[in-house]
Amino acid sequence: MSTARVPGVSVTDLSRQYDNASRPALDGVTLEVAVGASMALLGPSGSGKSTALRLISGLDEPTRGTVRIGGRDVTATPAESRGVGMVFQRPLLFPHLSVLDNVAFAARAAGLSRRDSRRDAARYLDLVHVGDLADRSSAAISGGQAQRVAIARALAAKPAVLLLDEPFSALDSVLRTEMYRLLREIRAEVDPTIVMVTHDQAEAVAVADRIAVLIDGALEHESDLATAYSRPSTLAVHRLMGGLTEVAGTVAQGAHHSDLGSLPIPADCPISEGPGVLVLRHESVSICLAHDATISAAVVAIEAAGVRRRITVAVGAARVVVDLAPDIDVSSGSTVGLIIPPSARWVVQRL
Amino acid sequence: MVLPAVVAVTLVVGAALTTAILQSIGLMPLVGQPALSLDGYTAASTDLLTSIRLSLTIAVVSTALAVLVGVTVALMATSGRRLGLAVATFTVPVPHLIGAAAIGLLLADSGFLARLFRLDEGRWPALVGGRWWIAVIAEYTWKESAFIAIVVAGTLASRVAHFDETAILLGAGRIARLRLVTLPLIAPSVLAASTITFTYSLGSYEVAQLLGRAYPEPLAVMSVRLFRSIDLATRPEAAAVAVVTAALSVAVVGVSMIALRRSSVWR
Amino acid sequence: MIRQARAARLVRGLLIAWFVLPVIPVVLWAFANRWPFPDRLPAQFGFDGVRTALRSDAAHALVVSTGLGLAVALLATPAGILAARALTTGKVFAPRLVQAVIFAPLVLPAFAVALGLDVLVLRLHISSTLAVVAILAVAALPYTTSVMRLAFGAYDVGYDEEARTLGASRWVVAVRVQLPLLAPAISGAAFLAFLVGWSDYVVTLLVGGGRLISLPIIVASFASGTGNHSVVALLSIVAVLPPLILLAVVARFRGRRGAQS
Repeated sequence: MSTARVPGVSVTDLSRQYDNASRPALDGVTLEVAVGASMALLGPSGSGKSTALRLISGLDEPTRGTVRIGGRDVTATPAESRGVGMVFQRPLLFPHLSVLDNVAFAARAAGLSRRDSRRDAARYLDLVHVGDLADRSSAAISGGQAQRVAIARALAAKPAVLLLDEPFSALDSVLRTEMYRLLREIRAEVDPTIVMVTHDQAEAVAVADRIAVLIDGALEHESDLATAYSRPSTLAVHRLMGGLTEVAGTVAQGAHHSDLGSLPIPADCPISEGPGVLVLRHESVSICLAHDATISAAVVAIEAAGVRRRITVAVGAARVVVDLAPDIDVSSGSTVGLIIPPSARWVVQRL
Repeated sequence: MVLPAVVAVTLVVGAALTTAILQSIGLMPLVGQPALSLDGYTAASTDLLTSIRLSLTIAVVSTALAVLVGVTVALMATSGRRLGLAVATFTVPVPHLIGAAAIGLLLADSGFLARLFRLDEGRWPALVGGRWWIAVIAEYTWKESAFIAIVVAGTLASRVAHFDETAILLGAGRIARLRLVTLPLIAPSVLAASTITFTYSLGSYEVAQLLGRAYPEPLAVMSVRLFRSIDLATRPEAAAVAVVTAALSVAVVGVSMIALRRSSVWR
Repeated sequence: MIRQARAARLVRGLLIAWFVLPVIPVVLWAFANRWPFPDRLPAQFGFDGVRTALRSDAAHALVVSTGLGLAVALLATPAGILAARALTTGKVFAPRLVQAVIFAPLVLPAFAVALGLDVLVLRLHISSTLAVVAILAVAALPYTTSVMRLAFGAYDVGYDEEARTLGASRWVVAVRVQLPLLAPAISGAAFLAFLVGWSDYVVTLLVGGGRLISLPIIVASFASGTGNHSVVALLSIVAVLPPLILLAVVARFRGRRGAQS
C-alpha cells in the first residue's frame, strides 16, 4: 500500500455497538480501497457488511473508529455532505418524479435549475442504456430498468465513492449477468471507487478487484481475488468462497499430516506447528489413473455441477472434492489417483 | 357481499336527500297541499348568501390552520419527537360537542385564559360569540389538526421513510428534502384529509351553535333553527339550506377528487 | 445552531400546549365548588358538581350513549368488513360507483340527512331510536370500510392458502386464521364506529324527537344555560373517559398483535 497514493475510502478501527445487542455489529474493522478500485464486502447474513456501508455513507454513526474519504476524515460529516452515493436492493425511485427527474435529483437539490439538471441527467441515463425511458413515470418501468436508473441517479450525484448494498439480489440471473457487464462498462467510463456488499462469492468475483470478508462483525480476510480463493485466512472464509474440501490433520516440519499422507505445504502458511485443516479448491486438484499418483483414493460420490461433474473421493477418513473435466469418466467405487499440486495446498486453523 | 353496506347507505342517504329536495321545493309540506315552488330558496336568499360566505370562511380558516399544525406535528413525530402526536391522539375520542364545551370554558370572557392573563370583562377579546368566530374556528382546528397529524404521520411512516435516506445520499440537506421529497409525497394525504375536515366544518352544527353568535348564522345553524321554528312554513327554507349545503360539500369533494386523480402519487 | 434548537423546542412546547390547553379548565371546573372571577384557581374544591350531575339525567344519558355506540358498532363493523372484503377481492360490479356510494356519508352534512329523514320517519311511524341508530351506522360505514380496506390490502393471502394445504376447511380458515390476523383492524374499525354513535349530537337531536337523551345532548343543555360550568365540566369528563379507555385498550391490543405479524 503506497503512501503516495491517497485511498478512495478507508476506515480505521470502525465499530458499531447497538444498545440491546450482545455483541457489536461491527468490531474494529480496518480497510482501504484505492481510488477507482472496486472492493467486494462478502459475508453471511448478520456479518455486519450492511452496517459497514451505512457507517461509511454516514447514515449511521460509529461507536468507535474513523471513516476517511479521499484522505479527509468525514466521521463527523453528515451524510448529505460526504459525497457518498448508495444504491440499495430496492431501487427506491421517487414515485412523484419521472425517470429523468429522478436522475436529476442531486443537481436539483444542489440548487441547479430544472433545465440544467435535466441536461446532465440525460447523459447518465444513456450511460446505463435506458435513455429512451427518460419521460416515463418511475412506476412504469421494470425492476431491472429501475435498478439501472437508480445507479444512474447515484452516479449523477458525482460521488467520491459509490456504495452498493446487494443491489442485484432481487433480480433474476440473466438480469444479474447484464448488470455485471453494465458495472464493468461504468467502471471503464467513469472510474468510480466502489464498495459493494454481497453474500454471493460469484458476484463478488464478477464485479470486484479485491475481496474483504466479514464474519460476525470482524474482518477475517482481505486480498485480491485469486488469493481469496487459494489462500483464505480462515476456514470460515474458505467455506464462504465456495471451498468444499477440508481435511483435518497436524502440521509438523513443514508438512501437513493426515489420512492423505504427509503433504509439504507453502512456507508462508499461518500454521507452522500443531493441529490445522488442509483446505483445497475443487478446481485445483485432479485425478488420474490409480497407479500414476502417490495418493490412491476411492470414488464415493458423483454429482452434477453445471456442465461438469463433481466427485468426492475418500482416503481413509479424508474427503476431497474434485471437479472433473467433461471428457473424464469415472464410476462410483472405482479407485483413482489423486493429484494435489503443492501450490493448491493451504492450511488454516481449526474452528 | 357489498350489498348490506351499499343498500343501507343508498336507502338512508337517498331517502334523506330526496325528501330534503322535495321539502325544499314545496312538494312535501307538513300541512296543506304539495305545490311546486322555489320559495324555499328565494325566501331568505340574502341571508343564505351571508351564511354561505360565513360557513366557507370558517371552514377554510380552520382547515388551513389545521393543516399547518397537523403537518408540523407529523413531521416532528417522524424525526423522533413523538410527544406531540401522542397528545394529539388523545383528542380523537373527544366528541365535538365536548370539545366545544371545553373551548368555551377556555376562551370565554370569564374563561380560563382570561383569568390566566388577568384581563377582566372589558379587555378580554370576545372570542366566544364574537365577530370573528374565533372560538368556533379554534375548536374545529383543535380536533382537525389532530386528525390531519395522524393521517400524515401514517403516510410518512409507511411511504416516505426510505426516500428520505435516498435523498440524503444524493446530497440533499434538510430543507431541500422537505421541499423536493417529503412535502410532494404527503401532499395527496394532506389534500384528502383536509377535504374531509373541510366538509365536516362546513356542515357542522353543534360547535357553531354553542360557541357562535346569533347573527350571521352558519348554514347548519340557520337550517336547524328554521326547521325547529314554530312557523311550519319555514320548513321548505330549512330544507333548501340543507340541499345547498350538501351541494356545496359535494362540489368541494368533486374538485378535490379531480386534483387527487391528477397526482401521480395517489394510488 | 443553538438558536435553531431553541426555536424547535419552543415550537414543540407550543404544539403540545395547543392540544393540552382546553383540557385544563375542564379538569379544574369539574371539582370546583366556587371559582369567582378573576381568580386563577378555584377558591374551593368540592363535589357540588358531582351531586348536581347525579341528580340530573346523567346516568341515564350515559346508558343511552353507550347503547348508541354499541348499536352503531354492531351494525357498521360487519357491514364494513364485508364491503371492504368485496372491494379488495375485486369481484364487485362498478367498484368506483360502489366506493362513491359507501363514502357518500362522509361528504354530506349530518344535519341535512337528519332533517331530510325526520319527516319520513314520522310519517312512516318508524321508531325514532331505530332511525337514529340506522343513520349513525350509515355515517360510520365510511370509517369501518376504509380501515378494513387497508387491513385486507395488507393481508397476505399466503396465510389462507397455507392453511388450506394443511387441511383447514373454509370455515376453519376464517375463524382460526383470518379472524385472529384481522382482529386488530376489526377492533380499530369497531372503535371508530362506536365513537360515531357516542359522539353524535345533531342526528340524536333532530331525529330523536327529544326523547333520546345522550351525553352530548345533556352537556349541551347545561352548557347553553348559565352558571353550570361545574356540571358541564364533570359531564364532559364522563363523556370523554369511556372512549379514552377504549382507545387505550384498542391501541394496546393492536400494538401487541401488530408485533406478532
